[in-house]
Amino acid sequence: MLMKIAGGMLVLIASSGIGQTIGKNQEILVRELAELLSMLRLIKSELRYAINELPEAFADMAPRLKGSIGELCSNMAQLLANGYALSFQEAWDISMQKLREESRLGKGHLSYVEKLGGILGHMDVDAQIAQLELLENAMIHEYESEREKTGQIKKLAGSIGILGGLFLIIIML
Amino acid sequence: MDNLMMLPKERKENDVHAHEILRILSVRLKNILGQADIRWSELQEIRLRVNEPVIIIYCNREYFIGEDARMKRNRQGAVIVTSADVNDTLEYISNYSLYAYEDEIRQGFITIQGGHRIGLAGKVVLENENIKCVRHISFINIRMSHEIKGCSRKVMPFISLHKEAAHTLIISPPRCGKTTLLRDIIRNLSNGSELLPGMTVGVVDERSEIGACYKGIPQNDVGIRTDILDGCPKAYGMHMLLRSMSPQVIAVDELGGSQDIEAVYSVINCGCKLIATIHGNGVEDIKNRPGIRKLIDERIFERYIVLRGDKEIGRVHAIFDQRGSILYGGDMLC
Repeated sequence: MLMKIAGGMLVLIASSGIGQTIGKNQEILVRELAELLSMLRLIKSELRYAINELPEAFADMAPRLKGSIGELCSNMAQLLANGYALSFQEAWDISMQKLREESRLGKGHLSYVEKLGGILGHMDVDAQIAQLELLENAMIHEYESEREKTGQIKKLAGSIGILGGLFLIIIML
Repeated sequence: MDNLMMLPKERKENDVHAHEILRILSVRLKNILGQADIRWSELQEIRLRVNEPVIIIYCNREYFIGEDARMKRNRQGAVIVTSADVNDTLEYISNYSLYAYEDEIRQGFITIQGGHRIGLAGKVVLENENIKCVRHISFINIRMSHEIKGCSRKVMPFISLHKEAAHTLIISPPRCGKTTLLRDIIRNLSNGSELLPGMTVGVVDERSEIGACYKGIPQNDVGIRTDILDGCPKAYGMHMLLRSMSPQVIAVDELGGSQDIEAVYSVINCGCKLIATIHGNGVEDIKNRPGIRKLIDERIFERYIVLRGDKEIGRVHAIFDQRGSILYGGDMLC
């Protein structure tokens, strides 16, 4: 009996842990979206006011942004400073690959980041800023909707975790 | 093989030039040109045109570059430039940031590290009859920067008057070395010599040809007491320098417009010395321009240095004083 109780407890801890993790992932996703938005805004101000070159701009942004988005900037700064062996698009694709592996962003979110690679570096600052604003608006919408969902998902995942655990215990008993 | 015959100093200079130029070329062109047997310090131009062969101007002669990286005089088997080559090269020239060079591109060129000048041409977009930007850039001309230190050594005694610099006008047709001579005069005046003590020199470098500033830092040696206003129109620049940097000498390249002439009077009246250049074949030739005629008639300039490039670039044809008396006549190679 003691063994059964211990096993049941372990099942309950594991299943509620899974629920917690799902909730945490959603939190990280929202944080990453917020960082992505900050990156867009920083790039915009770099283009509009500082007129820094992109390698310098990415190097400046990297320590100011957290997590995988900060990593993305840091990778870009390194690749672009690497003696002109890559085109901007190639460097962006390499950094995107890392971002895909490391971040919680979904395909839809990543497609926005991909688009960013095609926007940056061109001559017309106004056109770039207009496109960045378009992306920013779409990103704000995504961010708001994911943020709204976060509370619900956390609760739901937590509850399902515990209830799923209890259900398993009942079956086991 | 040619490179083996270079002195260590020459080899170092050659390597620096090679690095500065190769790094801005697309990877494909970099690989091909990197293998070519070129003395980079002797290279004058690289011309890239989409769907046309790579052309280099080397020791005053035009060459094509073959796929085997050999220089050749005919275009058969020459490397053809693709639009990807031009786009990648543009990215590298602008450090992935063409937008940061919008003003320079509007003027048609970008100066890169080392002072080399990249001329660009493509589809010009106009806005209110002004150039807004250049799109679809398909033509690139990489012009190597060549400093010739010491080239003004022989003319310095002529422009030194009572331990001061004389108001000097260098007259020359295009591509005869007037900017190179002006740069060396600036360096000599700034550093000082046996003839003249070092002076504070203000340079208005409207086309970035004198100092070849890259991110505000002169890539050419313009002396220890030289301040440069880079990319600034001459007339504004001369006034700004007078107000802000208290120069003893002001140097400008290619005088021309009426505003420039007005600014010259401001410089002269402030007690500053002026060293300038102008396009022309001689004193009589430039007298046809109203503003310049006035300056000559009023004997503002104390020395006129006339360059000719018919025999060899950088030959001083004659030096005159303010009265038109010839101080030097002949062919002195600077």
